[in-house]
Amino acid sequence: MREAIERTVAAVGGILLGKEHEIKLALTCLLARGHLLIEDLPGMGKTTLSYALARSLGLSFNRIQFTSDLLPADILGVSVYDKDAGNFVFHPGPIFSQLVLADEINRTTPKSQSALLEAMEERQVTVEGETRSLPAPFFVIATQNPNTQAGTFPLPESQLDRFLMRIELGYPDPVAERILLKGENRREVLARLKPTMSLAELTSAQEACDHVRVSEALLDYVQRLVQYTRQAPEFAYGLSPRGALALLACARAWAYVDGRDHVVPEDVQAVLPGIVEHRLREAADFSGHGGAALAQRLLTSVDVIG
Amino acid sequence: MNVYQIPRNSLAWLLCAQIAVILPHVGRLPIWVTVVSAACIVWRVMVYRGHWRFPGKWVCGLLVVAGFLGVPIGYRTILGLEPAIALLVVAYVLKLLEMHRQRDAYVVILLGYFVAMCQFLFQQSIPWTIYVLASVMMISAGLIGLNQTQTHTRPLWTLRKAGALTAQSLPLMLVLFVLFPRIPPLWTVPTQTQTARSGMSDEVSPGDIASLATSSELAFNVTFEGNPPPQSSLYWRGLTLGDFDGETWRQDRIMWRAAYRVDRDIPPWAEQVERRGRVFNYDVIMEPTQQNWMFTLTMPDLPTDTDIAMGPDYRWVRIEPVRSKFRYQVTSTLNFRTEPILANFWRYRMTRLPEEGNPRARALATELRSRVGSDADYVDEVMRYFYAGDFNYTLQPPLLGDNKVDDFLFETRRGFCEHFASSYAFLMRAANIPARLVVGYHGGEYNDIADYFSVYQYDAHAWVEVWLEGRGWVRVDPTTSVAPNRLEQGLQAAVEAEETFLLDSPFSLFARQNLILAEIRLQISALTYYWDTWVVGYTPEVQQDLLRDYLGDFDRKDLGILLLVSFFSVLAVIGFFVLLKRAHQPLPPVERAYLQFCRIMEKAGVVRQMGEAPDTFGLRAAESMPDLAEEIRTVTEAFVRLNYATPAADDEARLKRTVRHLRLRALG
Repeated sequence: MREAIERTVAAVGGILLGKEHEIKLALTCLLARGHLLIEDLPGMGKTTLSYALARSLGLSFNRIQFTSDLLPADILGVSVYDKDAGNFVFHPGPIFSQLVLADEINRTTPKSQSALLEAMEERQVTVEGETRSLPAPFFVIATQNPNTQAGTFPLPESQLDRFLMRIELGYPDPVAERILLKGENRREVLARLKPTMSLAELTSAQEACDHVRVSEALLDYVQRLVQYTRQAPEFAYGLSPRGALALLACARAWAYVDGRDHVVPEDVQAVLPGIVEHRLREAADFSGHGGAALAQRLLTSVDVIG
Repeated sequence: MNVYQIPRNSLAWLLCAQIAVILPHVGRLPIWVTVVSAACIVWRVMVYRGHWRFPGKWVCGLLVVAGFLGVPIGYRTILGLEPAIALLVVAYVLKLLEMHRQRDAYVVILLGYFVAMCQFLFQQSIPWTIYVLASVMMISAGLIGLNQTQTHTRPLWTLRKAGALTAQSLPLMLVLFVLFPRIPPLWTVPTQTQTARSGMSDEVSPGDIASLATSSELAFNVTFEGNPPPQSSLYWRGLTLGDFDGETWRQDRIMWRAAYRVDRDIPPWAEQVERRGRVFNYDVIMEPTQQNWMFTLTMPDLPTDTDIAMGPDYRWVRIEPVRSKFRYQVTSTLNFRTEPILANFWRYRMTRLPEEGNPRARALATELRSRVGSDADYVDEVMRYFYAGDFNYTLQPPLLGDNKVDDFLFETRRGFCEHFASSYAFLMRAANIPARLVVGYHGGEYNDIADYFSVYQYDAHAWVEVWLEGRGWVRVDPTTSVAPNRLEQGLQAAVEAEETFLLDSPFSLFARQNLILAEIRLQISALTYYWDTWVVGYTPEVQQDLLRDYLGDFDRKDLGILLLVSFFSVLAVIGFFVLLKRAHQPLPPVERAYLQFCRIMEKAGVVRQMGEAPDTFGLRAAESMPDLAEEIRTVTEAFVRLNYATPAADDEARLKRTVRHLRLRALG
């Protein structure tokens, strides 16, 4: 089990160089059965990360490029009349896939956004009155470009909340970048990537995460963190109970990825930025980009023991 | 250039506080100071909102010079309370316009506290105290805001914090209030240059007291030791008027040459007073009148305070005018007899009338005197004349002509107490009986909540004292013959038919008629009474007495020690509660041991940062202190197992043992 996780991290790390922490976060999010939002500039490896994850986990993969004229049917699928059979046949959309990459999610209209977000929440879609289950596991990686906001439809807080985690990839460090520049085409490496984990292994890993031990002292710490966001004046509003649950689930998955059967404060601290940054807003900031500073303040203002 | 900006939260509160602090002074300040203050505040608000810019150096300088020249020019003096406060307010608002740095804001805050406190020089009532506390809270909110980040935009949170701060400081305030030595020059309220006078004046012409009767302002409160005398005998003597010019009664100034003071010999007129019957001790708290006279029941004992004198007309007078609430104690005997023989000098002055005027009244006096055999009978005869005649008691007497006594006695026959008293005294003097007018208050409203009497301005009354052979000065109240209700049930009953009673203050009239409101009014009045007795009336003398009661003989050093001890005990109690709130549950032993380990590490030079988790800290500590690495690892592993994972059986013991060991090594 452990080796499978390590193998996966190593395999994806071979494609996306120098980003082990982010890869582990993405994996953590997957193990915690949540969806991932990657917010970064174009060309930072968002697509590469999702594709590599799909390949190495042996998941079926589909990519939806969100544009302003995308319709819900383009995501969910549509029924087409079959002349030979004499009836309507449902052609499943790209959402019917184990790993879906929703690229540039903020480029499309709220109508299409909500079609995807509903599917994410319910893990099923209802088309033309018929409810169809999505494959399991079902994992959405959505990306958005934070810099060009012209012609976009930013996701409101309530929809951001559907994403368990939001991460940024950031520039690679010089050593990793040198290897990238010297090495062969990533596309080819990606194509050669073999699955490192079976579907059964993935499912049992997800279940194992639920049994990672969480002590009373750790729950105290989590509660103190949550309480701080609700009381301190610099927070516009506090973390919801769902946010607290997300924090705990991710801390468990992270501990599992790190090879522990119990959660230590470091696990909470490692996943905390990814979980709270898009759920919190600074009281003085109305653009909603103060989350990173808030997460840091949270980590340095709440003591582990107390 | 990185320009410091005062946090907006702080600025907003400072502006609010400024308005709140200046507002009560507005009535006392020249109009231009108010206009300048408003203009400065508006200017600063516009700067705050980003519409306008700060004034330049030249404009600022000009404003300062103009302000500081304007105050002395406007008042024609720089000395005195009002000019000082006007100057303070001008400085306070002008500082706003050059508030760029944190230091400037601190100056504005300190000035704000100071101006807020100045309000107490004028008003010391409960509502004003609450008002000043509220403005102090706002200023403190500004102070707290100054130490918050620019991003903090929850002003109410800041105000709540300021409220907690103010509430915590209240017990300290109380300790200082009770114990801090009240050194005279600091606790003397400076003289106000202009004040409204209320109450009676030292001359009475018809109509003066009637106008007082429409005022529901408090004159004084009285507490009796033991049972009070009956309501109808509560004649609060204020001053005697022995000088009549045909229209107005005035004080006889000569009285004061013979006044008794505690440092002088007891004069013969005081020795001749014979006191009989029950002695009443009572405590009076007077509202400021800006006058010297005091109110007592006859016959008061000789005063024992150095600043109180007693005149030969047996009334108490304060050497200094009563400028703020004034409290004094009196002992009176209601049953008494004054000097049996009146000196010729006084007999002359007390029977003096103008040469001419009021011929019909003089004729009436001669006629009535001829009907009876003695002066004493004449006194009763005139009373009967008033009783039998068609006289009316009214708050709205008609205007009188030149011969006021004649006009009243024979034409209008409608008047208030001073009409009856002055014409009665005239008739006495016309018959060569020494008589004088007495003004003061009669009765009072009993408050059973705090057991005291409140005497209001509408209780103002005038009566007559005549001197009779063998009996001395005797009180005669001609009003009783016309309006007996006035004495039994007070003024309201006597003039019930008229609607002018307290017409100017409809609420107090309404309150007197509505039972629930009357009860509320009594409660408020009782509260005010306690406040006046224990807070406003807490004078240096009261403080001395109180401290002597509890401490016995004490000197400054004892007081200093007591002050310090109580001050720090209050601080300790507050601190204890704050800590109690913070550490509401004691830490479990494992965490205590770990924190002890952290303290040892801290002394050794590796400080665990806020929020630093044990494993991370353990690695860092072991790295910087390789010789302790083994112990650090043991502690960290044991703690993490105990606190977060499945602990081994001896983990807790091992943790504690290693921490002990580390402490010994650190000590050694």
